[in-house]
Amino acid sequence: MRLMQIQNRTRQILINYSFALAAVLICTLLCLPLRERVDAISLTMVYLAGVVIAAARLGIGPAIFTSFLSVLAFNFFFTKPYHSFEFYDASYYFTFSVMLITSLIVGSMTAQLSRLLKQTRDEERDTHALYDFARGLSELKSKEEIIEFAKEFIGNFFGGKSIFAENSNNSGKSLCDNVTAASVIITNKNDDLVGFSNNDVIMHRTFAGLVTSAIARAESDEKAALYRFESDNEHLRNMLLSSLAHDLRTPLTILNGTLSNLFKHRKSLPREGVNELTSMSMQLNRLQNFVANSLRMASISSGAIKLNRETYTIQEIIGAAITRIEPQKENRKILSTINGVIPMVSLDGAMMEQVMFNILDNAIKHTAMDGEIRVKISNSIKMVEIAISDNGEGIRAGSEQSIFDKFYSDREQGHKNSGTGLGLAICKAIVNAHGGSISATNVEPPASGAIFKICLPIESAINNG
Amino acid sequence: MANSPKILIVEDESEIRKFLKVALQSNNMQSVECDNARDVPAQIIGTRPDLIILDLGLPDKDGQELLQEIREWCKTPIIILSARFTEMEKVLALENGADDYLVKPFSTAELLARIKVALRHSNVGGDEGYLIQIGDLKVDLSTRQVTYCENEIKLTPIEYKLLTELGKNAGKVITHSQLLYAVWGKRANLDSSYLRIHIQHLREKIGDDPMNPKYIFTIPGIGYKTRGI
Repeated sequence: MRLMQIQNRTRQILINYSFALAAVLICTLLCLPLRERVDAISLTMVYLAGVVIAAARLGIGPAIFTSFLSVLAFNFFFTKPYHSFEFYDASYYFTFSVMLITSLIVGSMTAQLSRLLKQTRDEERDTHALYDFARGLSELKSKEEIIEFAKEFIGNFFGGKSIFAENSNNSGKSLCDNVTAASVIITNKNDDLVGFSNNDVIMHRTFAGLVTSAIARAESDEKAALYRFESDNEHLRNMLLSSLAHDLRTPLTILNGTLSNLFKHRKSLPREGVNELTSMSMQLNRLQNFVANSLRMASISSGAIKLNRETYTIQEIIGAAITRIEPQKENRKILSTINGVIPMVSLDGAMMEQVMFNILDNAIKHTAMDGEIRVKISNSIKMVEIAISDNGEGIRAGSEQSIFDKFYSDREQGHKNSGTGLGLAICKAIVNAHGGSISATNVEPPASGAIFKICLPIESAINNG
Repeated sequence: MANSPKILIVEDESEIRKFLKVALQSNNMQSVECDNARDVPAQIIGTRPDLIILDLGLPDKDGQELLQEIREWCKTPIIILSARFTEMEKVLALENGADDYLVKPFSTAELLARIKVALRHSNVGGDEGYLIQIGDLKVDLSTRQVTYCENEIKLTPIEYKLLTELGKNAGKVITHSQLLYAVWGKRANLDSSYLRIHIQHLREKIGDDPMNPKYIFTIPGIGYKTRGI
C-alpha cells in the first residue's frame, strides 16, 4: 500500500514533467514560422509565457525544468547557426543568462502564487464543508442518523466511502486517529489512501471531532429523555402507592381503634363476645401485616429500589430489629455473638432493619414458645456475614430456594402461623439491591432448625450510590 | 376534669376522630376536633390545647406545610398520624418540628404512651432539671458529671453533648441532622457516619450493647432515641 502510494506519486510527477516538455515543444512550434521575420530576442518572450503557464499549472519543479529547457530550445532553434548549440554572436551569453534568470524568477513566483491561490480555495471549500457538516449534524437527533449522515458526507468529501468505528484503533486503510472517541474511517474507491495530504488529515480529525461531540450530545439528549420518562413514571407510581396506602390504612386504623376501645368494655360483655372480639383482633392483625408487607413489596418491586445509603454498624441495625420484635418473642431467647471486629457497612438502614425483623419474625413463628434464636455476626473477606439460626422444625427439604419466592407459604405443613408469603421475598429483594446474598439451610442434624445467612459487601457503595 | 390535658385532633376522617375521642376520654383527657387545615390556627388560639394530633393527609393543605406554619409561632407538642410510611416523610415531619410520628394503622395503647411522653416533656420545660436520669445512668448538668451505678464515667466533650442532647429529649426521636446540628452547630454539614462513630464510642463507655440497647436506640434511616425516663 505504501509502495502503491509512491508509485502513484512518481506517475503524477512524470506526467507533470511531460506537460512541461510539451509546453516547450508548443512554444518552439509557434516560434519556428517567425524565425526569419522577427528578431530572435523577441521570441524569448514566447518561451517566458510557456514558463508562466507551466508554473501556474504544474508547480515549481516543472517550471524550473521548463526554464532550462526553454533556454536550450532557444539556443538550438533560433540562434545562428540553426540546429546546433553553438552560436556566433558572443552577446547571446548575456541573452541566455537573462532569459534563464528571468524565467526562473517569474516561474517560481507564479508557482508560489498559484499554490497560494489553490490553498486559499481549498481552505474556503473546507470551511464551507465544515459549516455544512456542523449544521447538518445539529439538525439530527439520534446517534444512528448522525452516523449515517457523517458516513455519507465524509465519504463524498474525500471522494471515497467511509466506515464508522467507535473507539477505533483500526490502522491500515484508515485515516482515523485515536484522539477522538469516535472516528469515521475513510477509504477511497481504490481502497488505498492516495492523495491524502496533511490538510486532509486535519480535516478528517475535525470531522471526527464534530461527529464525536454530536454523538455525545445525542446520547445525553436520549438519556435526559429517558430520565424524564422514568421520573414521570416514578412520580405516578408513588402517587398511586400513597393513595393505595391511604385507602387501605384508613379503614384498618378505624377498625383497630374501635376494636381496642371495645376491649375496654370487655368486663360488661358476655364471654362469647370477648372470644369473638379476640379472634377478630387476631385476624385484623394478620390483615395489617399483610397490607404493610404488600405495600412494602409494591414499593420495592415496582422499578428500581432507591437505597438511602448511610454508614452503619450492623450491630445497631440488628439491635433495632431485636428491640422492635421484643413484644412478639414471648419466652423465646434471642442470643447474639460477634466474631472479631466488624467494619461499618454502607446500607439503607431502614430497609436492612426490615430484613432483620422479617427473618427474626420468621424464626419466632417457626419455633416453640421457649425456643432459642441465635444471631451471629462475622467478618469474612470483604463481607459481613449475619447468620440467624433457630431451633425450630427447620425448612422442608427442597424448599430452601422457594421460600424466598413471592407468596410462597408452607401451608402444606398446616402451619397455623402462616404469614403473608412476602416477608422473605422482601428480604431477598432488599439484600440483592445491596449487592449481597441471602440463603437458607437447615442446621446439621441431630439438631433441628433453620439458618438464614446474609452476606453484605463492605464496600457496597457502588450500586445505586 | 380541671387537670385533664386537652388534645386537639386534626383529622379529616370522622371515624378516626370518633374512636380517638373515646380512647382519650377513657384515659382522662379532653379532646377538641378539627377536620381541615384552615381552621387549625384559630382552634389552637381559641382552645389552647396541651397537645396536637395531626394527620398529614388533610384535604385542603399538605400536612408538612401546615406543620411548618404552626411551628413558626406555637410550641405545643405535635404527634403526627399518617398513612405515609417512608423514612423520608418521617424525617421531614420530625425536622419540621413534630415531636413524634405514628404510622397508620397504629395501636391505641402506643398512641397513648407517646402522648404521655410528649406531655411530660412539655411540662418539664426548658432548663428546670439539672439532672438527667436514664435507668442507672445519671448526668448532672451542673457539674458535668456522668455516673453509671454510682461509678463516674469519663466522656469526651462531644460524647457528653451527645448524651445530654439525647437525655434531654428522652422518649423522643431525634433525627441525624438535628443531633449533628445540636452537637456540632453550624458546621453540621457532616456525614451521619461521623455521628455514628461517636455514638458507638459513647455506647461502649456507658456499657450499652448496640445489639441489645438499654439507653440509646437506633431508629434506622431516621435517627436516635433514648428511652423515656
